Amino acid sequence: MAGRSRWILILAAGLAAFLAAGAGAYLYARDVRAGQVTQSCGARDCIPGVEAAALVEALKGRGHACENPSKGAWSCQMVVGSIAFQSWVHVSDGGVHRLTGKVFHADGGPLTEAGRAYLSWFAVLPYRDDPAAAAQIRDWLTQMIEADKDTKATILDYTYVLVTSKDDAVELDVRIST
Amino acid sequence: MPGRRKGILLPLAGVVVAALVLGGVLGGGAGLLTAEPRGGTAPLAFGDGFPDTGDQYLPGVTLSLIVDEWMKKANSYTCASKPGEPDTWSRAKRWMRCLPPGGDDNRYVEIEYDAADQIRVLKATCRLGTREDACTTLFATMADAALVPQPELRKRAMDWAGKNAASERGTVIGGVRLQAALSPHSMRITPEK
Amino acid sequence: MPETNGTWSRRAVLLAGGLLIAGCGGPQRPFIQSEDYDSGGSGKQRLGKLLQRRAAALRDRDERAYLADLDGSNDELMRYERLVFANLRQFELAEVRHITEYTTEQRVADGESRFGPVIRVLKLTADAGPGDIAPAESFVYQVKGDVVTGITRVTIANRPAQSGGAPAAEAPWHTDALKVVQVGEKVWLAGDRSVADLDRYAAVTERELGVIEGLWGDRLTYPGHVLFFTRDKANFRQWYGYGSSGPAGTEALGLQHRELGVGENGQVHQGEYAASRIVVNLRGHGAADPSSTIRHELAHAVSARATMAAVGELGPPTWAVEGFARYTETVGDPARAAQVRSRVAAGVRSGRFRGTPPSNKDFYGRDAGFNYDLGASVFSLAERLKGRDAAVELYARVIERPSTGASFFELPIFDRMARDVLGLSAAAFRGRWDQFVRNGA
Repeated sequence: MAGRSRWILILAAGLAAFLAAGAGAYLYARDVRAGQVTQSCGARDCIPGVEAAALVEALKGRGHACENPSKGAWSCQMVVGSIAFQSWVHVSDGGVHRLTGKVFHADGGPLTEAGRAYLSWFAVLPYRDDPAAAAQIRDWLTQMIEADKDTKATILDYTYVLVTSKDDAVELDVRIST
Repeated sequence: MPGRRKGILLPLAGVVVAALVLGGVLGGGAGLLTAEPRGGTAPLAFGDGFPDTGDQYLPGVTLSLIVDEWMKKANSYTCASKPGEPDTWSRAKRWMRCLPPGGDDNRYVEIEYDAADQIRVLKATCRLGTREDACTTLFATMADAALVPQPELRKRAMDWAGKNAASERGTVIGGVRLQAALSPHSMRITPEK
Repeated sequence: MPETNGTWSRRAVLLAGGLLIAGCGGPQRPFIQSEDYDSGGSGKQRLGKLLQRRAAALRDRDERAYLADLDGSNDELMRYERLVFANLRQFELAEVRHITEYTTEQRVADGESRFGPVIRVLKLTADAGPGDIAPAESFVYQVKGDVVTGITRVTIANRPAQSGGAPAAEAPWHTDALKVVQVGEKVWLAGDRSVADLDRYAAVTERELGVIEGLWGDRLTYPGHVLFFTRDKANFRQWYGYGSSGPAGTEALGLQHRELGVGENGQVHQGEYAASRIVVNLRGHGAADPSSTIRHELAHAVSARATMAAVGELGPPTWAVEGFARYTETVGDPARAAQVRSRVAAGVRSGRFRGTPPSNKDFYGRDAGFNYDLGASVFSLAERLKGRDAAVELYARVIERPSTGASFFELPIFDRMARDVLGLSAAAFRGRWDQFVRNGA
């Protein structure tokens, strides 16, 4: 009696532990996954749902000329008068793991409406399904550009670096935090 | 009593730890597999204001407006196509240079364009001196010509160009940048968004 | 306070429950965590903001704000900046701003950097350029954190080492405590400590400016004029960096300094002069009246904006620039006119006259004195032929052109000028001038 009840007790405890751990881990993992804004691409993590090729095609459709000199990254550019809109799309296994947008104004004017729209489009790309998050990111970007300050921000899984201190240019780099 | 306790604790701990690990791994794995990441299923869409192909060109300005109306008819300038690309900056496919009668190359107008209705850059250069009326007039009438498609802004553009011909100032009127320069003395007209 | 002590309000319970549920909802990370970032250009960006504050302080004549970002424990720095502020606040500043487009940062110690060249545009209401071209001076700033620990001005002597072609900071307001007096609407006189009688020169300057403006008429000129006075030999040498060389050697009675301005990006604009300054050497005059010197330098100053901005043989003929200024000294002054005439005659007798005006290269050489007077004879002759206005018009046309090194009288462009202004061919004018000079001008 002492021996059997001992084993029943142990098994019951084990089962309870298994179920508790399993349920806990299951819920936690689902939550992490649901909160996650990346997807794996080869050895890296990428922006979910964005094919590098489709992104480059989309930019071409908006007047950009794109080239892929280094294999790892596409560089696209479009010139409107004295403003150059430039972007770099870093590719891993067809996905995009880093994205840089830059607006250079040769006549030194302030960032234009189109310049702002350009940078914020890149900024919200990972969060394009989430209007509330996208709005927050846009507000943040506008504030930082107006403050004219170099800034680094962590936004969930991404690191954003905004550089305003270079002469006549504003640059935003978006990459997945390591 | 103490003996018995010890006897149950060891296997109990072993089983519980193993169950925790196994449950955690299986539960976690199942959780990751059954949930979708939240970002990014929407297709790529460009919002308002994102620069577009048409923004690269002076709104409504055509080659014949510049060459035939302004240059030839009003000023008797002669325009000729130049081979090759004008410069690496504007990325225009073609360009033209217009000279006043007599071929005096102290004054000239350059047109950088992709097609007859796709003008990227108008640029007038005048080496006669920053205070020469001929330079001021050339710049002012160019500003006027560039704004012909937006008649209500013509006078404003022309006045600005006349007043700021000898400077390094710039302004944007109706999506068109007028940018003056001093070395060389010139004015450049481009779209700006 | 609707809730009473010791009881749980419904709202609190709901809030606690909400928090509990939220806590169970999994990892809640702050959405945007933003922090300053050092991109390598950030130091320069911070410097830019600091410079904006200093420029505004200078414009507003706010000494506290002007000194606020400086390291108060650096006595030398504080003394220098107080001096510059006290001097500049006495002028009328049309524009103060800094340009850092070509400024580079050099780290000198932990958290301390040197930035140079920092260009300060300093446009007085007396100055004018095409567009926003304006005179400027350059500095090297040393900054630790947000505190300026040192400011070194870029001078002609240290310029090559520190910063390419940046405009030098050689104005008198950097070296001496100045007293500045404004005369009328557009003339500023400034004297250093050696000049206790600055006010004496106010009336003289106004009178002489009236004479020169009467000659120059409505031709292009500056909105105002700035004259520095000194009896200090060292100051006459160091101001505007002339040293003891050239026409501005310490023996000169005065000098007029033409200054190029800078464009939006800080590059020197070569097209035309953006400012003019005069320095009068009172020591050289002893007890004599400096009015003739003041008139001479004002003749340069009033016409400097219309003078082509280049030096050497690419610049306008020196015989015209100096000759016209000497000629103005004789206007309404028969004694001065006779003196100039007799010196020309003496020069001719001693074989210094070679039938052409002196070249720019030789002008300030051995025969400098004779060359001034010989240059003046061109305009005296023009006056005799067609009147005073013609003399001025001839001068105004000549100084728009490069000297080219050859005899200016042989140039086709001079033929056109002579015909337009004097109604003579260049050859005919040359003959008349040769005769005029040989016969005692």
